[in-house]
Amino acid sequence: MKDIIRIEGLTKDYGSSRGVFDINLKVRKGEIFGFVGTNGSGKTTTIRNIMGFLKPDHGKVVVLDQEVNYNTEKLMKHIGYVPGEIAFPDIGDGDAFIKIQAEMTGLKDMDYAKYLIKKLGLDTTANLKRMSKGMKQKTAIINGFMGKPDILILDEPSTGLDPLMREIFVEILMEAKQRGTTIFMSSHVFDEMEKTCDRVALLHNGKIIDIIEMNTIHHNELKTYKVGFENEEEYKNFTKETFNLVSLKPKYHQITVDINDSDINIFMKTLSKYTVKYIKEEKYTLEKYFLRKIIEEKKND
Amino acid sequence: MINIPLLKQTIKSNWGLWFVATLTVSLLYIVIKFAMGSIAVSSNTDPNVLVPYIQALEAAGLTIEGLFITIGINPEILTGLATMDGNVLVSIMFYPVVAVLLPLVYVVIVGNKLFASQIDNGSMAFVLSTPIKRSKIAITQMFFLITSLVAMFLFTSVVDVTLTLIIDNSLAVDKILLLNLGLLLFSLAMGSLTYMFSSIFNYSKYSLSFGGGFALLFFISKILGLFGSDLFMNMGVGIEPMDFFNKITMISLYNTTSILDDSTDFIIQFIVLGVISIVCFVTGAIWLTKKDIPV
Repeated sequence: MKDIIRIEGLTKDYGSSRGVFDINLKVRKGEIFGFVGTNGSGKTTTIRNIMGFLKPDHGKVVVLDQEVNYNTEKLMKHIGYVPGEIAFPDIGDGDAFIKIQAEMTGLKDMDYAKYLIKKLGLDTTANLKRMSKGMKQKTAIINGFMGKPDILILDEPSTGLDPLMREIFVEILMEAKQRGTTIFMSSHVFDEMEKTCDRVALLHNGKIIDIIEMNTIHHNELKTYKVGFENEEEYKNFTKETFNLVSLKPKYHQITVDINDSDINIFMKTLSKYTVKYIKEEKYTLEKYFLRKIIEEKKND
Repeated sequence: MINIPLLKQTIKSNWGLWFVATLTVSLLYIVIKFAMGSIAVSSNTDPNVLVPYIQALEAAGLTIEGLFITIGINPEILTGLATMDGNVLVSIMFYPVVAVLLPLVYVVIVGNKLFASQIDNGSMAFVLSTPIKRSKIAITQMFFLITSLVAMFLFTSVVDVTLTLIIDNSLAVDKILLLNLGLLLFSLAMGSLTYMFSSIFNYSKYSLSFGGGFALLFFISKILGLFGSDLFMNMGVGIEPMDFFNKITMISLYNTTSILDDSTDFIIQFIVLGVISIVCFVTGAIWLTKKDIPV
């Protein structure tokens, strides 16, 4: 079994073009699959379908070779889940919650839970109702990860965590990956996705508009540089050169140019003829890639 | 059939309300039993006191009935008043109007908490993402609601019977037990309604509107219906058209008059309450296993 999760033609139509439409994707064993999209693009709806909480209008979701429905609760033995909207049952403190969840899932060994509590620095004696957003998120993360499940389904798992905690969360995520866990994670923190994901799907208005391998982002041969020139004359002369200029800022005598790694030497030689004030490589990020994609998509609409 | 950890969780989040409701019902019993104990003493009016009045009227060629008609009161109430037992009157009114209130509040709030409020706020996600079958979740929550009501009535019945034996023994213990059993059956039927609405709706506001709405409708109709009841009519203070309200309230199936006057109407009504409970509980449980749960 290569594909742990298979989504085939998934459609859940809530009317007035809300919902998800004809979603197709496969999550391979052991990979971290990211799911990004604008607010209301259907990330959570897709996740609820994977969990079997919702029934698709069309298409299907297959997890571990079994088609998911309302009665596939046995699959939950293999799945750890962090919901997007976190509210706890009315049962006292964090310890009580973690204990009762472990009982429900049949988890006996609490060593990993204790490790996670310590690592995330959570005070589990705090009353669930009085927990801050961050504490609630940590509690939900501990609950999702503590059973070392084969699959993790995470709906915006780092919401409400401070930057330091996000780093720790990424560490926990990478530990899970090293154990061989297959992870499906939605997020709108691109930075975190770039660090962790193997592939990322972009969801827009309920449709997947692209699935990208992170390697093509990390090892992208097309680089973007920002160059500032000493004076207007130099700036004007350079704009006549045959490079792919992305944007111009005459006021600052600044150009932004796309250069493929194979052309880098030509670029450098050309630049040496000018008086350059500064040069800066603009990192090619997932965020940029997707922003461009969404702009393209909007043009097509 | 039931999941013990889930049951523990449900008990933990509802025991407070159970405790308050049970205690308050018990307190109500204490108050009413003391009140009934005092009626038994004060209603010992000596009929001989009335004799001179009757004689005076007869001497003038008049009757008591005539006097009442002149004042504008139906003389039939005289027979009604003469045969009325204060304790029975209180029991007929107290159980279905006062004692019923707290179990009603209890089932409306707890019923909503069993599913709808957990789906509404999203906490149901933590139950659904464990390997517990949906039908097992439904049955566990049903088991809690039924057992907690039975426990409540076991407790309050013991209080009621004990008080009856100590303070006021005007009613036989078997009648007290039947009155309490009826209250339990009615509460179970109401509980099954709130359970069903809680399972059908994903939002607390709808589940509460329906569950609480019916509870309020039944309760208010019961009070308005009192004015059209035989009891009030016999006392001469009835308004017959208001009997309509007795036809739309489920509390009418808890027929305290029949329980206390040795007729058998209440038995078939108990059975109807049982049937309502079974239908609503089963509908609610099946509904939960066949619906989208957006958490």
